[in-house]
Formats: sequence, structure tokens, C-alpha cells
Amino acid sequence: MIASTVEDALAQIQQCVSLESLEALRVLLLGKKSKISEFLRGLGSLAPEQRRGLGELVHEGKHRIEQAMQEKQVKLKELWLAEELKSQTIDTSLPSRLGHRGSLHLITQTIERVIQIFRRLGFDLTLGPEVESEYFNFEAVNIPEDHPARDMQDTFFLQPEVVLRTHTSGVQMRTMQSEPWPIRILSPGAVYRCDSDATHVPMFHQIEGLWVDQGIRMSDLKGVLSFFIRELFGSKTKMRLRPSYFPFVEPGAEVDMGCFQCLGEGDTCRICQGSGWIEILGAGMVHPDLFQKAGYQDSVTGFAFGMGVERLVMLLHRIPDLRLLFQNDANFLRQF
Amino acid sequence: MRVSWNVLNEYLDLKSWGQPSDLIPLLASRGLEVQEIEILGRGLEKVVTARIVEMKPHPQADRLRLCSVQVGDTSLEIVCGAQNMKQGDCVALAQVGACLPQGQRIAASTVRGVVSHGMLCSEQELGLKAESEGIFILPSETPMGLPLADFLALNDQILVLKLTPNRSDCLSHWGLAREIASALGKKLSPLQKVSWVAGPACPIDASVGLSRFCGVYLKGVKVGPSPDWLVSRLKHLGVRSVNNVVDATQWLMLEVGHPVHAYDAQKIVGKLQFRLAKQGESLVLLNGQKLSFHGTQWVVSDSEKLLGLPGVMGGVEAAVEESTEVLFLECAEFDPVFVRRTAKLHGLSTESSYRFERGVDPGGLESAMGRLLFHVLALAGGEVVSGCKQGEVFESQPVVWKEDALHDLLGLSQEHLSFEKTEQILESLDCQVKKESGVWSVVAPSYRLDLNHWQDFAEEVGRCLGYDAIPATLPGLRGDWVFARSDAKRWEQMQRAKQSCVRSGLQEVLNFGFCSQHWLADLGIQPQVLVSNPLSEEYSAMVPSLFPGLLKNALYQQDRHFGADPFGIRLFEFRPVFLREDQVLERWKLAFLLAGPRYFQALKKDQIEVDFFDLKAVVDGLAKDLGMRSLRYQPFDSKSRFEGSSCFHPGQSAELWVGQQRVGFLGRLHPQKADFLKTRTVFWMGEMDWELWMKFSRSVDAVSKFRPWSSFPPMERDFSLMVPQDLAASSLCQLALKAGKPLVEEVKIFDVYTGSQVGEGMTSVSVRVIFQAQGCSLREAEVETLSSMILDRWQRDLGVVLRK
Repeated sequence: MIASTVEDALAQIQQCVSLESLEALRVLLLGKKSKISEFLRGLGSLAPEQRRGLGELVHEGKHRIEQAMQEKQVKLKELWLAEELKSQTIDTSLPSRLGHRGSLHLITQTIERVIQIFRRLGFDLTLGPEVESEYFNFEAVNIPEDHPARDMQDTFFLQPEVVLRTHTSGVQMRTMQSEPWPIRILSPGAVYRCDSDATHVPMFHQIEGLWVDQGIRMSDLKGVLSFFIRELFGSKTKMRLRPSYFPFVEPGAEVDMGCFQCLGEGDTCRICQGSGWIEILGAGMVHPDLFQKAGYQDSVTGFAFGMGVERLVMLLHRIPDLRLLFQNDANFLRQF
Repeated sequence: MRVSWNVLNEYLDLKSWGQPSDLIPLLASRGLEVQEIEILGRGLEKVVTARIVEMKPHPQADRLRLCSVQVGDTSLEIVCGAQNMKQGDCVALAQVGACLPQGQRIAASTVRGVVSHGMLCSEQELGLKAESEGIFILPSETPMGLPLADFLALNDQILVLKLTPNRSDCLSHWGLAREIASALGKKLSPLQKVSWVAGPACPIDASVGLSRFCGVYLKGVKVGPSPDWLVSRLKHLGVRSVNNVVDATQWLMLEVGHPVHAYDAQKIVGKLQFRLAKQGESLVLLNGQKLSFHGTQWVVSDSEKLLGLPGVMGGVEAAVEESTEVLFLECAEFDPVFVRRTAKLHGLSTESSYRFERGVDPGGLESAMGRLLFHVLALAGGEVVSGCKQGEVFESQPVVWKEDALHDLLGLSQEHLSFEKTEQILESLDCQVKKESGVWSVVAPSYRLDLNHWQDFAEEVGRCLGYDAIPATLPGLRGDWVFARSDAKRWEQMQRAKQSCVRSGLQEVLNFGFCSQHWLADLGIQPQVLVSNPLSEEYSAMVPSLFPGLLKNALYQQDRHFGADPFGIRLFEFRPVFLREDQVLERWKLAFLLAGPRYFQALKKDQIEVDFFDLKAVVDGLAKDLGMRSLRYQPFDSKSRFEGSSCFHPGQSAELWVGQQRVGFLGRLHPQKADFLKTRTVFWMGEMDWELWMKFSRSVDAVSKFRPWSSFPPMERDFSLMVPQDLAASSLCQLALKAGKPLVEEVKIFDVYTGSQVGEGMTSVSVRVIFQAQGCSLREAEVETLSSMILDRWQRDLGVVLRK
């Protein structure tokens, strides 16, 4: 009688398919009105010897039902959870909520790269004004009025004796007149020249460098610039100095780097026009006239250099047209 | 400057040394740049002179002729369509295999059944003229079978040089040959000259701007056309032939670099004067230009009339013509500044003024005159009557330096460069070198005007040795060096600001410092600084604000965006603007512009347009990143006037204040401006005054110190408040923080509602106050007390009550 009740109960549990019906079954099979409870209650009216045998049987039956119930519950919960999770599935291939990604202009990025390289050699920074006096832009750097060197740079005037600086070189004298040597500075910034065509824009950027101390030699200039060029364009990049003329240096030099495209072997290389060399900056030993104007003593020497940032950017990033740098086209800005 | 390879070879045998193109690296290493080499007669390699010995009609075509032409010993049959030749004419024959200057290839071809073994060419086909009719008929005495290039003196190459202003000594064939000879260790063949002597009298009076002068009278000259060789030589060097005497002066200048002038001596009345013009004088130049003077310009005259602009261009009055018999030749050294100003003033840049501006050899006048006489006598005959000169004999001053100075400046040791080698180099440059007891004393040749400092000689030695010989070293650092001056810190702060903008999703743009005045006017912005000599209207005004540039960029990007989806624009720019106070004031500004969807990419349900609070987030981010103290947003005061203030929506813009100073401005582009610009996009823009931000933000040197936070649980109370619409909701927060100090940790506005359920002119604002103590847990009762105290203050100070 008990055995069949238990078997019956176990069968019912086995057939149960949901947690809700399992809960209902628990009341039916183990609740106060269940047959098992009836048996338990009936035990009290039995004789002690009967009670022990039967009691064991009933308790064991109850235990089996409870265990089956527990096992079934775990199983059903697993099934339920699997169902539930399946219903929550999302398509992870849908687009993200991507915010706008900002970036610095390529020219700003390059100026910063250059600064970081020279910082490693201990260079400091000075900033000069874009609106400059004719004195600092020209006279102070050995380009007096009525000197043919003025023809090298077409100048924008804002009023008599006030110009938009044509180069960052004015910063050399600004710095030397305001502080004593030793000096080791870099000065980036925008410069202006009356020129606009496929290869010229009326405003562009330069970085000026100046190192003044006792015993500075032209070989130091060569070492510093060669370090810079190798850092920027790769450790195998060659460099050469070519004699040239800038009124504020003596000796003066044009600095070429070996062509990274053809490595000097392409007769038809578009980057170096087959020469194997690319002109990238002007440099030289600070002219004695400048030291005199600054009131420095004779024993001081130094070197200065100036580079066009746009040219570096175009070479580094293979940009075919200078004007792209100032169009501010979203396609361009986002690329870098 | 144009230089003939053939002429260089007259002074120096270079043809056995190499090609014209070999000069490019040689001169580059000496600091002289060859821009290009023009090969004259390119494409004429298989074109020869020939004579038409027989001519008959083409059997198949009326308009064609069959010509038998004689080329040396052979005779060729040529079909020709031209009509202008006759039997016996000398012509230019392009032989089979020729490839003419315009790329036309000549092959033996059959024309209407007759084989033509070449082509008779027109001047146009030979690249000699832009247009020509008929075939090129050569002079009848032309020898046959000669390469046409030789006959026309086109067997030359022209080097086009771009010289730096310091090397005036190389502005001539002789000067360049001298430099090459020095580089190659060769000697120049001397120039033939006619010697002359100066008499005691000098026909010069009252001179300014004149340093030295030589003059020679010649009589019995025959002025006429120049010989062909000179005409074509001058033509290839860019000078038009006038007559034999004028051509001789031009050639002398191109040859030795000294500009000279020839006058018709019989047209000069009295003495020559180099003086300032008087009011009312006038002059017609050789190029036909008529000049009137008002008193300060520099001229050359005789006692009656103006004769020319000295060193720039002669006038017609005493010009040498066919009828001229007596010449006065002038070889002068003028003050470079006088010549430069004169040339600039009249807008004339001539070969002569170009050389005078850069300086001519002050010690070379007499020998230049000797060479000029050689040319004039050879070309026009005549005889020297008398000569004269004025001015001191030029003497170069010695430059001295101590033994090692050049080596020290270049960074060379004796192993790299011995003193003997140094001396050799200097002597190869015609310097006179003395070295006594460790001191160098060197005199540069008179034509090297650029050698005045010992450093100049360092360059000479360096470039002759080759800069490649200089080693690469790194200078030593100093222990007492102070790093990071204020500009470096300013730069670092600027980098921080830029990085903050990038983190806010903005893209940096770079605009020019000038823009169009019309564009500024369209936006209602007044330019304060104008460019005196702008390239065009587009670049005529210095930017007084960054808004115009950013708007232009945004509109450009929009125009270029062809997609159907709305397009997000996020820009910032960081540069100085230009204002005018007593003088031009350069002030750095940081500006941004936002428009379009909030996300770069998102599903439509998540995507919304940016609004004021996205813009404000950029500023808040900047303030956080830069440690800006107590930034206040104040409603846009309609009385505020600053660059661009009229561009903004009065109700959706704010001024940014710190203390008593307005540090920035942000808001929406005025809808009327947007209409005017024909855009339906809502633009959000802001501009910060960087100088003030620098002043009020945390210095880059400031070190953030650790602050402990409470580990006890916070308690929150939410309040729903009825707030008058003209009260800034943020004042609720400020007041609660102040009133509940120090137990109020944070006050947040988390919801606002306006509508029918709140009264007219009122807003419902939900505020959450967060209480937290540093050292203990707060009790319910404490929070209750604080809450009612805060409520009291809200009511008392701001008239704000709880929403019922």
C-alpha cells in the first residue's frame, strides 16, 4: 500500500514539466492532506512493534519522494534558465553607439613629434608672435632694408614696420636679447608669405632651433640634426649638408636627407627627382653679427636651424598636395 | 642666371673633363644651385642643311612636289607640300630617323605612290618659332650637309643657375668659370683686353650714389647690326640684340659680371651728373617707358637733360644709334642701395640692377673696361681717344683669426684638415694668406664682397673641403642648466587643452590667420586688423575670432558630404586672433563647433541631435582637465559686445565667467544667421579666451595631492521643487552645498519638467542631496534636520518651495 503510493508519487514527479506544476505536486504529495501525511498520522494509532516497521517504510518513502522532488526541481530550473537565456539573446553584430573620435591636425601631431625628439636632447621651448616688427623679422637677423635677401621672402604688412613674420628666425634674436647664453631652444609656429599656388600656401609652419654656448661647433649641428632625422625618418636615413646662404648664419647649409623611397637608387623616383636626396631644412652657425646685436661676448658660438613642417608632413605621410593640409576636409582629418 | 657651356669652355677646358650635367653636383657641393640644363637644338640631331637641286610636280597630286635634294655627296628624293621654295634653295632636311622637337618621327614613307626619304622642315616644326609659313629657307651661301644645330649655333647647353644673394661674384660666365676652376684645381685662360690710361680730366660732376667710375671716349666707331654668333649667343642667354655697341656692353656684363653703359658722346652736353632729379623733369627709358620726377629719385643727367636711371636702364636721349660716331663708355660702381631703391621705385628689375644690388667687383672696374674696349673695337672699330677715372683704389682689408678658430668653429681636427691644406684652399680662392705666430691674416680678392668675418672664411674652407668632411658630434650638456622656461609650460598647458578637446571627440582644424572681409561682414563681425598688401580679398583681414573659420569649415564639410544621413561635425581650432588696441594685439583663443547627430554611429532609436548640453560637456571637460576653478555659466547678456556676439541665439547661449572676467562664450548660431547662410543645421559653437584660462586654471607644475574620502555610507534625499523659470537651477545646488556644509557631499539636479501640471512661469526641478560624514555614519534624525534646514534656505533665499 505504501509502496504503491510512493511509486505512484515518483511517477507523477517524473512526468512533471514545469516548476509551477512541481510546486503544486509538492503540496499534493507531501502536504498535510497528502497520503504520506495520512500514513504518518496513522502511525500513532498503531502498536509499537507495528509502528517501527511501518514507520521506517513511510519515512523512507517520504524521503524518496522529497529527493525526487529536489532532483526534478534542479532539472526543471536548468531547463527554465536555458529557455530564459535563449529568449534574451541579442544580435551582437549590430552597430555600437560609437561616439565621435577626435584627433589632432596632422601638422600639430608632427610639430609635437619633432618637439619630443629635440626634448630628448634637452631642448626647451619658446614661442614668438605671428605679428612681428620688421626689426625682429629682418634687421635683427641680418636682413637690413635694401638688402637683396629681402627678395627671398615676400612679406605681408599690417602697417608700416609691422609684418606677419616670414619665418620663425626672429625668435632667435628675441630670445638672445631677453636672456643670457647658454640657450637651447626650439620654437614652432605659423609663418606667412605672399605666395599661393600649387606648391605654396600663404601661411605655413616652421620650427626654429637655436643652441648657443661656448664651444658649439658645426659638427655639433651635424650630430644634432642627424639624430633628429634618424629619429623621425628611421635609423638608416642618411644626411648631408650642402653649402648655402641664409643671412643669419655663417657658415650656412642646406640639409638634405637620403631619399627613403628609392634609397638613392631610383633615377625616376618622384620623391627625390632621381637625385637620391631630399632637401628638408636650412641651418648654420649663428652669424657673429647676431651675437653682437644680442650683446654676447666673442667667445660664444652656436648653431641655428629652421624647418618647414608642411614639408616634413608631406614626406612622412606621402601627402600629394600641400593644399590638402588646409582644406580641413573631414575625409582628410579623420585619416590621421 | 643663364650660362653657356660653350662659353665656359672658352676659358676652361671642361669638355675633356665631363658633361654639363656633371657640373650640377660639383656646383651644389660648392653652394651653387643649377636649376636646370637646357639642351639647345634638342630634336635636331638628324636635321642637316641641304640644297634643292631639282624640283618637279608629283605625278599623282597637284599640290605636292618632288624635290631632289643634295646632302653632301648623296642626293635624296623628298616629297614636299610647301610652295615657298625654288630650285637652288638651301633648306633644312630632317633625315630618316630624326625625332623633331615636337616629337614627330621621320621615316621613309610612301606619299601617293612615291617614296619620300625625309622631310623638308618649317621653322615651327624645328621648334625655332611658335608659328611659321612654308619651309625654312636658309641663306644661299649655307654649306651643305652641316648639322643644322651647328649652323644655327644651337650646339650648346644652357645652365640655369639660382644663386643666393651673397655670391654676386658668380653672376657671370667668368665668375662661374673661376669657381669651377678653383674646384677642379685648374687655371683659366686669360681674357684679352685693350689697355687704356686715365687722363687727368674727368667729365663727372656732383655725384651721389657713385663710388667709383671709369670712362673712355672712342671715336670713329661704326654702329650696325651684330654678327650672327653674338645675336644668337645673346638670345640664348635671354638678351635681345640691339646693335653691335649695345650688344658689346650686354655681352661684357654677362661675361665678366660688370654692368656697363655706352652713351653717344656727341649727345652729352657738359658733364655727367649722378644726382637726385628735380621737380618736373622727365625721361623716356630705352624700353619706351616715360617717367616724370618730383624731386627725390636718383638719375643720371648731363647739364641739360636726364639720360637714364643709373645702374638700372638708360634713356633714349644719349642712346647709341646707327648714326653714332663717338662713344662714351661708362664702367661704374654704384651704391647697391641707390640702385635697389631706384629699381624698386620704378618697378624695373634689369640684369644690370640685379648685379649692382648684389654688388660688383670694386677692384675690377679698369679691367672690365679693358675687356669692354676689346669687344667694342672688335665689333664696331674706332679708336680710343681718352680715358678717365674717379674714386679711390679699392683695397681689401685683411681678416685675422687665431690659429684654431676655423677648426674649432667647424669641429675639425688637424687630422681632418691640416693648416697647409687650409692655406691651399684659401689660395685657390685667390686669397692672400699670411700666418704668423699663430695668427692668420687673410685678404680676400676684391670680387668676394661676402668675405668680411673670419666665420666667412670658415665657410669657404668648409665648402671647399666639402661639408661631408665635418664629423657629426653631440655637444655636451651643462650641469647648471635650468629646464622648462615659461613658454614650455604654456605649451604643455596648450597640449592638455588640445587633448581634452580630442577626448571630447573634436577634430582639430587649421585655418589661415587671415580671412575674407566679406565673410566677416556676412557674420556681422568687424575686422580689426587688415593686411596692407593682401594676396586677394579672400585673405585680406586678420581673423578677430575663430568662429568665421570654423563655420566655413563646417559648411565646407557639409557641402562635401553627399550622403543621405545627417552628418556629425565636431571641430576645434586653437590659434591666436588679432585685435587692435593701441597696436595689434595677438590673443590665443580656443574655439569649437558641434552639429549633427550625437554619435558617430548608432541605431536610429539611440541617435539624437547634439544640443547645448553636448557643447557644455566640452567646456566642462576642458575645465576638469585643466583644473579650472569656479567657472560660472551666466545667461547671455544682450548688452555684451564682443567678436561674434551678434552670431548667437540670445536664449540658447551662455557667457562663461570666472570672478569678474568673462573667459568664454558658448551657444547656438543665431537662427537668422543660419537662414542667411542657407543651412538648416543647428550649429553649436564656443570660444574660450586662452590667456584667461591659463590664468585661472591649475598650473602644469601643480601637483595633485591625495585627498581621503569617507568610507561611511551616504544617505540621499530627493526633493521636487517648484522653481521660477528665470532662476538658474544650478543656484539650488550651490545653496544646498553651502547651507549643509560639511555634511552635504553632493547635490545633483536629476530631472526638470515644465508643463500644464506646474504653474505658469514655473519649472519643476528634482534635486538629489547626498549627505555623508567623514568619520561616522549619519543618523536619520541628523539628515532630517539638515534637509529641513536646506529647504528653509531654499525658500528664504530663493523663494523655492516643495512641489505639492
